[in-house]
Amino acid sequence: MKEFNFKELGQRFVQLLVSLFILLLVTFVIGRVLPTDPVGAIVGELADPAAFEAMRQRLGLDLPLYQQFWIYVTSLLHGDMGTAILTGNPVTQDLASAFPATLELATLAVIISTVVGVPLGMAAALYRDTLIDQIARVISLVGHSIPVFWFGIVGLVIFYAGLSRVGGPGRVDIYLEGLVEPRTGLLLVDSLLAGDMEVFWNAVSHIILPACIPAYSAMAYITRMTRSFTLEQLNQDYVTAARQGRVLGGHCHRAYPAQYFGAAGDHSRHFLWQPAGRRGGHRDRVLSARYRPIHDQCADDWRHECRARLDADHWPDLHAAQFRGGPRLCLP
Amino acid sequence: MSNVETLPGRGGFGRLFGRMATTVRLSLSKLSREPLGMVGFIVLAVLVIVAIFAPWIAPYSPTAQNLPQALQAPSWAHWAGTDEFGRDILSRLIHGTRITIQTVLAVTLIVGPVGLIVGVVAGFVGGRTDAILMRATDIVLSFPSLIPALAFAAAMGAGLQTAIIAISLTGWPPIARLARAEALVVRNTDYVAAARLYGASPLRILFLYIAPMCIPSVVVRLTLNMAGIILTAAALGFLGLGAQPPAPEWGAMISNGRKFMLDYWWVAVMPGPAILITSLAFNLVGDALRDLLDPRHVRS
Repeated sequence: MKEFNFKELGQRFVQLLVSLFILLLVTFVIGRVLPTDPVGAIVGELADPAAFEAMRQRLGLDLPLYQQFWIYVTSLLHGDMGTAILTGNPVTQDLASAFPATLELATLAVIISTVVGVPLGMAAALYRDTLIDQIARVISLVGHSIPVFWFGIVGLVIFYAGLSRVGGPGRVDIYLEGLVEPRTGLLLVDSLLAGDMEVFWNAVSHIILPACIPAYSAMAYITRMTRSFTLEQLNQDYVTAARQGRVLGGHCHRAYPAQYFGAAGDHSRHFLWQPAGRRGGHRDRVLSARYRPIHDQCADDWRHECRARLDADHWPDLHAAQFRGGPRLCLP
Repeated sequence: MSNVETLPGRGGFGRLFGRMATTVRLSLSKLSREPLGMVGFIVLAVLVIVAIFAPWIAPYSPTAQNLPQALQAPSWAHWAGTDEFGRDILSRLIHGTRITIQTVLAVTLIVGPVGLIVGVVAGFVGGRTDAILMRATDIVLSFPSLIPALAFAAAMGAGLQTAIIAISLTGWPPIARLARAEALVVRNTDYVAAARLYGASPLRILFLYIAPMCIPSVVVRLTLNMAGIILTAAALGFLGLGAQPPAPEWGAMISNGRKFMLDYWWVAVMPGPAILITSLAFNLVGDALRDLLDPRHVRS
């Protein structure tokens, strides 16, 4: 197992702190540069200068910028994020009330994208350069290119307005709101805990569309990654050896004993080497003299040979052929 | 252009152009075997033509209001329908191509050279310069791309220029990393050593010997980036921080149509395919270019 690298972890951590600090600095500077006037917004346009000045001092806006920044950072470290302009609530409270819904949505989206994306990527790699691969490629490219905010609108227009299959805005329909006691804040979990299936299915119908839409973008990425990882692994020696074993083991042994010794060389040709995308017909052309010794030997004693040939160097032709994407070893 | 003659291995313009022609021909024949990439190229060419000749192609003015014709469904007179001011949506989409292409080109022209120079300098000089430049790159890279763009657009006031600068601010680090990786390989090659031996200055080596070798992969990366730039630009427009009304910006058009999307769906829906197709075309072209320009990259 790889040794855990504490030094690297420490470097990463310091780097994270530095980037967070710079992000704070940037947001602070931008907040101060903004051409809005918080004092004016509180005391009103027509307040007299004394009240204006008093409020300015109360907000700490008369202090030098570095002191303001210090106050900003220390209060952030104490968990005080200030008051949201839009709602008037403390920012932490607003974040806390929105967080469970976000968590629920994100978790569901990640699950959907993985469940669809990984098998799709594997299928694309296994059936490389076939129609399946092309379809998977187009699906993932479209996922990369689609504007999510537009896709959401289209989803709402079709499935909510058009077909009425899913719930619209909000986490549940209005008449079901507040029926379930909030324990975890995750509506799906809470309604299950309360045993209220009506709320549960209603919440499902509300969350399914918003979860699927970002899931599609994520899926595009996952499919692409899975495909390239799988392709990488498929080119590894152990997979080649396993395939060889299965090809000969599954088929040659069925022909045992009459053909195994007699026509084994011929027999193995039927499924060992085929030109990519073609089955039968052209196999003899592909079975050039260069590959022939490999078949005959393998068919003679596949167990022994496979073990001996696990090393890629012993099998240069096979590997070269695979990497070139020429005639490839095909599963029967 | 005396530089060209002193470059190693190139004898005169004739041979140079001959070699370039061969490269182009080879590339085109490779491209014809990449049907998806070809489609991408064609779509992009069409988009550029549409952008250039927008006023002649568009059937109506993109900004002229025609209130009696407001919110008309798609028909033969208005292929994509009309919005709440009776403006023809198709004409607005056609004029919007200009804004999109302009944004993409501007961001690329900022991000490409900046990333290339930062990366090549970091890779070539090495040492402390490299460490400082790369830490800065890592820090910018760790920002989620839309957030600083939002903050910046909010601070500077919304507008197309702000959006372009905001997207560029977070766009250069991937290019810099790529260019650095390339420069690290190229600086140890024999021809660079030879150039140094006969007394080429560091700047000359940097810009005439190392930077050109990094350009192909940078171009590929830039093309793939363009797809992302389009989406970010449209997202900024959707949030009201891009080009301002009445400019026919695609993202802003979607945002505008959201108000009545349930009754008049076409206002919000029609600009989507335009964004999707443009972004998809850049992705396809980027993929194809990677296959053409990067011999080490096995298509995966």
